[in-house]
Amino acid sequence: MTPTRRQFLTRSSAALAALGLSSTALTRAAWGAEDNDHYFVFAYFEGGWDHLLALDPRDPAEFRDADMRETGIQTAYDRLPPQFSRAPIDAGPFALGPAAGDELAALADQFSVVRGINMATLTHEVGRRYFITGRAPSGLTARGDAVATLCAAQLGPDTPVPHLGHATESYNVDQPPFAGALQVGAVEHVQYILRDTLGLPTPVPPNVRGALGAYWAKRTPCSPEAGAGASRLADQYRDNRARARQVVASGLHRAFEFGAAEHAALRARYGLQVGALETPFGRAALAAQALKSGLSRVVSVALSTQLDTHDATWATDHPTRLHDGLTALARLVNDLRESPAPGGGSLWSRTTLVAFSEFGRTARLNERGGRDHLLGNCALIGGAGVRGGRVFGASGAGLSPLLVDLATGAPSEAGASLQPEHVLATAMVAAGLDASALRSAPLEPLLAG
Amino acid sequence: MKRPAALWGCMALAALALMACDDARGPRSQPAAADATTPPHPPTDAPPEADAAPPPSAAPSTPLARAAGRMTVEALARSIPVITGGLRWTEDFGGGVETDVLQALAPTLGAPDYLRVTEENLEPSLILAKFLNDAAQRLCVRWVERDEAAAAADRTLVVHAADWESRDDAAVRAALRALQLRFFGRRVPEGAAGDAALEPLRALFQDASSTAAPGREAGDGWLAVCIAHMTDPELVIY
Repeated sequence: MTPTRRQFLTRSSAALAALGLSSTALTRAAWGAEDNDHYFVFAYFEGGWDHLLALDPRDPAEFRDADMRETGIQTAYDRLPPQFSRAPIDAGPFALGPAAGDELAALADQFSVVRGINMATLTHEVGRRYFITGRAPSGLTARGDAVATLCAAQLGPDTPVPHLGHATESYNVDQPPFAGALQVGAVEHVQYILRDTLGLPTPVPPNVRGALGAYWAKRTPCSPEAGAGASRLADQYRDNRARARQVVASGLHRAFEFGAAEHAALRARYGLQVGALETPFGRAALAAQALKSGLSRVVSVALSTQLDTHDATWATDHPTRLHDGLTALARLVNDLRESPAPGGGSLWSRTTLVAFSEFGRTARLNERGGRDHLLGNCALIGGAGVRGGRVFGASGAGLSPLLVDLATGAPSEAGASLQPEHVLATAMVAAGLDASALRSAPLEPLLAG
Repeated sequence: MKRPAALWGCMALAALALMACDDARGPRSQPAAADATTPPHPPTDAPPEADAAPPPSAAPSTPLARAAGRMTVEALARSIPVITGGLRWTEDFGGGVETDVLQALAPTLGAPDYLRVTEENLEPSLILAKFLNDAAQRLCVRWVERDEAAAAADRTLVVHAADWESRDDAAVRAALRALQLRFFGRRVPEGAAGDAALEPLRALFQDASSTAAPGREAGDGWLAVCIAHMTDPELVIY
């Protein structure tokens, strides 16, 4: 079979990376001609999200507390703060829980919901790493590459930071180094990272810079038989050293100066407060700017954090944090919808989004008024290549995952168990990438076209 | 006990891996980990010729019987003061508080937080290269200033030259030899081969100093040399 251009590029860049050679120029030139350039956002909701509050709600009129023994479900919407509705939100194609918020509900045709995913774990690290890699961990240890890393590897090293990560884990086992996430410790760090000497004065005179430029340009890698200085790692370092200088010279940092006058509209869209960017909205803005500025093709970011509410904070903190995370997600989607992509169309039309958590929360409150860990899970998938406005899979009594017919997404006793790799393979295939590493078929009904 | 033939084969391969680079730089002098009888060589400003000769049993250069690896962020943070004679990369980002930059940016550089990240990313990433370039620019300026003002005996950057301003080739080469040892633990031999290995750095010094503003000739030359060393892959790849 003749390889596609994408396959050729993937293999070429991997081979070149393995040889320690710069593949940037090759792929950048080739991608310029490619009309299906693609982007990814992997949005993580840390701590285990409550499906009843967002992606898999129930109508309290139908699921009454009096019937809890039969249904296994206690919506407890009446315990939420007053700003949340006491019933699911009618989003059109499907219902969403009170914490989903109106902004996300208004975008229901832009994404689909996968319900009844079986995580087979109640341990945070295991569930999180399962959904990040698409492979069940070995104990607590992640196995394989992060799917975001796989995507970045296949999309190529044509951006300064192909894979940007913030507040999430990422793994790179056998992909080219460029595909591993560059983890930024804080939203504010990005602008400093991209500026020469972190934006501090640089009293290195031009003649010294010029001499160094000539010195670096002349030096050639040592022979492969030599020591560490001639290693593949050293060659990668030299390549990255040159790329780093290009990044600094590009002025990309301006896209991340969130306090600048030119970003007033951005601040208004996300409700940003300079100096307090470590919020779902600041992180969503970071993801948007990374894609819009051309810094990255793949962004892995934790939008909501501290969702692990086993006590009465479930009623107060969980819905608020979940709502903020999902609203930030909605604003990110809208931002991308209004932003042009270099290859034409909107950036959203070329971006595939997966929002996930490590698992759900129990459908009944515990004795402390909180919710514990649930084996079942939900995910949100949308954007390029994904059919919106669909629900795939279902949960039953106590929100337990139901077996589904993978060809239709309808519950079926003869069906199969939905797993994270199904969702992740769908995202990769939707973007035209090779998902064979996941050893799972995509969910065909969710693929557009 | 007789060593198996395979072990001798591995040792021979390791010895092959010690051959000098194309640019004829000298081999590192750090002893093999297995050679417990040879003490490690800390960065020192002692004249190279005064250093103890490598043990006769040692191969002509450092045995490298493992894959190359990248230094951790913590190791890098500990190394910089050792190399520079006490300088740490701290900055005042406002408020008069000195921030340890490497510590602050450790998560970005791939250091584990043991909460979300439990294993350090040891790739020689673009961002590591970028930060080392930043560190080099900020630290080398300070180092040059400090060295220039110091008494000859207290210098750590330009040693083996009585006159800091000297641009004499022999003095420059002597200082470069000391810097190679200080940064990389590499002993550059005396003689033509060693001089050839140092030629790119000597040319860099010459290039920067010959284009410097009056009075800054030596300072700019050593600044360029310092930055070149601190951004060399061998600082973090070992």
